[in-house]
Amino acid sequence: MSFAWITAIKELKRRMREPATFLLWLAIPLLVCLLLGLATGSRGGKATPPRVHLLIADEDATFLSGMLVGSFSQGALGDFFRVENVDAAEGQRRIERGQASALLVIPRGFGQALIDRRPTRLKLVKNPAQRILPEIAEQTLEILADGAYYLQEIFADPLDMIRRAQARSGADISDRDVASVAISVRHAIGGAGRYLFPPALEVNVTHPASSSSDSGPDRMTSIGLLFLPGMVFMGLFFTSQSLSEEIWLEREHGTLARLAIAPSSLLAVLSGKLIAAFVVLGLLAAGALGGGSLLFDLPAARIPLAAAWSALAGTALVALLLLLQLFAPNARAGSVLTSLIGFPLLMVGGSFFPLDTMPSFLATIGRLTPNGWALTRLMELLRSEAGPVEILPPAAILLASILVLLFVAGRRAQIIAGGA
Amino acid sequence: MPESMIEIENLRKEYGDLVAVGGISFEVRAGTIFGLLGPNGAGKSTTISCISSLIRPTSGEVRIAGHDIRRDSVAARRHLGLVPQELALYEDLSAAENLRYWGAAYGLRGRQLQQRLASVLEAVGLADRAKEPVKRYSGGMKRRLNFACGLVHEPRVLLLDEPTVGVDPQSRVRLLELVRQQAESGTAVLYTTHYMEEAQGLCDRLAIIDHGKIVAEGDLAQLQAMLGEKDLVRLSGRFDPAVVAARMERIDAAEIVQLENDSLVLALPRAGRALPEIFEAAAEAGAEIRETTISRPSLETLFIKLTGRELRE
Ligand SMILES: Nc1ncnc2c1ncn2[C@@H]1O[C@H](COP(=O)(O)OP(=O)(O)O)[C@@H](O)[C@H]1O
Ligand SMILES: [Mg+2]
Repeated sequence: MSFAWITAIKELKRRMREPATFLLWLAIPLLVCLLLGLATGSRGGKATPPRVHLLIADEDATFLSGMLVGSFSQGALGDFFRVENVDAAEGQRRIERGQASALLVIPRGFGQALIDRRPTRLKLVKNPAQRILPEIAEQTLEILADGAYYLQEIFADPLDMIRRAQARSGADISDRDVASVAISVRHAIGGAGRYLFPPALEVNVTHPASSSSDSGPDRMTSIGLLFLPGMVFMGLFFTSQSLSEEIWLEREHGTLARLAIAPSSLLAVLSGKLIAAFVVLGLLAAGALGGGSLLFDLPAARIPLAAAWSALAGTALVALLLLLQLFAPNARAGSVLTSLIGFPLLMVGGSFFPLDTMPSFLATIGRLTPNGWALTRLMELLRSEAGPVEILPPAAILLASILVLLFVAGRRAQIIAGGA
Repeated sequence: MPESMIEIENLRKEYGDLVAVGGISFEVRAGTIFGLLGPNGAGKSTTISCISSLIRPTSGEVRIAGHDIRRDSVAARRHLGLVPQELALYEDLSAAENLRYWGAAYGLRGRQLQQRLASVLEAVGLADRAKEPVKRYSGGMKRRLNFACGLVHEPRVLLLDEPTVGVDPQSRVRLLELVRQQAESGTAVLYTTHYMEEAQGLCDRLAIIDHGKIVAEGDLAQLQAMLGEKDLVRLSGRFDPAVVAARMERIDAAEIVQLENDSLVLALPRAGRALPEIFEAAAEAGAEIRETTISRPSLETLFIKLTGRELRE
């Protein structure tokens, strides 16, 4: 057996030792699907998702901290979280008594730090007796934190204005300042920002403004086909990101260096990691698509091929993210870098907001993004517009990209293994 | 004479302005243990990394079993086993799974791998807990496993980078015994350490490295001869260096190794008998002495004599 396969088996073994993480990756898109199913009154309506009981101590009490609290209780996240406002001491007592899943403390100065674009720290206390629910709280918070960084970038202009206005007039901000900030915020939102927020998603849940509703059978326009593939891709993205972050552990634990000096090549090692990623992503995609098909009545026969395609696309994504991680100076930068590239692609490429419901010029751009392109192929597979034969050339393209990325990553890994 | 398994010529590694290894040469023969002895930051790990091709030297040659590590890299690496200074293990896998994986990285498969696994686990005393995940091991057990991973493929050249740092005394004795066994079976061992006693008891040949340079090399007897029969006398207190230096030089056969405001180190034969004379000289020079120690010739005293510094900071 070649060393690539041996590495793949080792990686899978390690993944299986962490079933909680595994389930979580699966849970995010599936829960979203379930919610969509509930919201749109499709079948399976009796099941309710588990909710995370989250205590929040907002010591900052500013507009921005309020927004963070709100993001847990409104929109798509609101269905995962039951939020209760407490003060920090009481929250701590209740966590110790096991009366909630987690306690989030937003420190004084949080809002100002965000405005100043300074790093700031949130504190999350997890209930040690629970496993999955506090984990969901933590993951969500991390995603929001990356999102906040991203928002700081998008809203750099308005934030700048607020800061300058503050500097000019202390705490008082004049009406004129507010007006110009508002205009500039609108401007920013008019850009990419519009598609970032869960509310945008929600509006479209209740009004599925499908452009293709009169051009095909009912199923095609069903909520499932509209949202499920994008959700699956979102889940694959988060999973791929975690899988690519593995390389930092290999670096920190010295195992990458040990591999780099063995006679087997790092190319074999990275190939093994990608094979393992393919299996993991395939299982997740099959689970998500399978679950989705039960909810939305999709034909089960199309699931295996669709899952295999999703896994291949996800593997190409892992290869790309892995390469980015190998060029990042540290793990934190790697995480931000992959998010900075991933989130806009997810947004434009139809994962936050279905391609079919986007304005046509945006949808055209969206289909040209790599993930939008792969997502369109997945749609075709699920709609039976494409079968095994039609999917072969795109699969060959993906495979070729994977090989190119792999080769570059192998060279890069050899260079940085020595700590350079 | 046994075959030369590690040959290093003028090895040099620079990081910008910093010279981590400044052109060193030595060789290690089959069946012998070569000690590279030096304080933290001397360049030991950098040397090991260059030998194992983990980092590219700025200049110089490295040959493993006759294969150039750059030009003939795969052949050279096949003979190499490395036990890195930091643990390099998969903590979520068991000892057996780790060993199987590292063995596979060196091309071992099937029965051969299984046999090596069993014998290595036995040797490091982990056979009865081989199936447990490594994260449940004690520090000493992890060290032993880290060691085992470096020799599961029976390398002819073994590089050990401070393998006993942070190891409990029991595990330490066991590790040193294992190193000896490896050498007895014909392996060439390069052993770095900053523990004098360890190097003294273990190594057939020694090089003392400081600031990236080898300041002395030889077997134990040769190194001790460099020091001569001189003891080291260390005085701490308050000194006026210029006055003290002038006065001490008059003491017969005494050599000033180090002299600062608060400490003075002298090398001289039969220091015990010369103590009254030293105290008298110190008093005449107006020095105030708080503490005095005498050490017999050893690698430790040799290091101080060669570099003017203590080995352990
Ligand atoms: N990657 C690196 N970049 C810059 N300097 C380094 C790097 N690695 C080691 N050094 C420096 O090289 C010198 C030798 O380090 P090292 O070989 O680790 O010493 P030792 O193993 O003897 O303690 C030290 O001054 C160290 O700071
Ligand atoms: Mg070192």
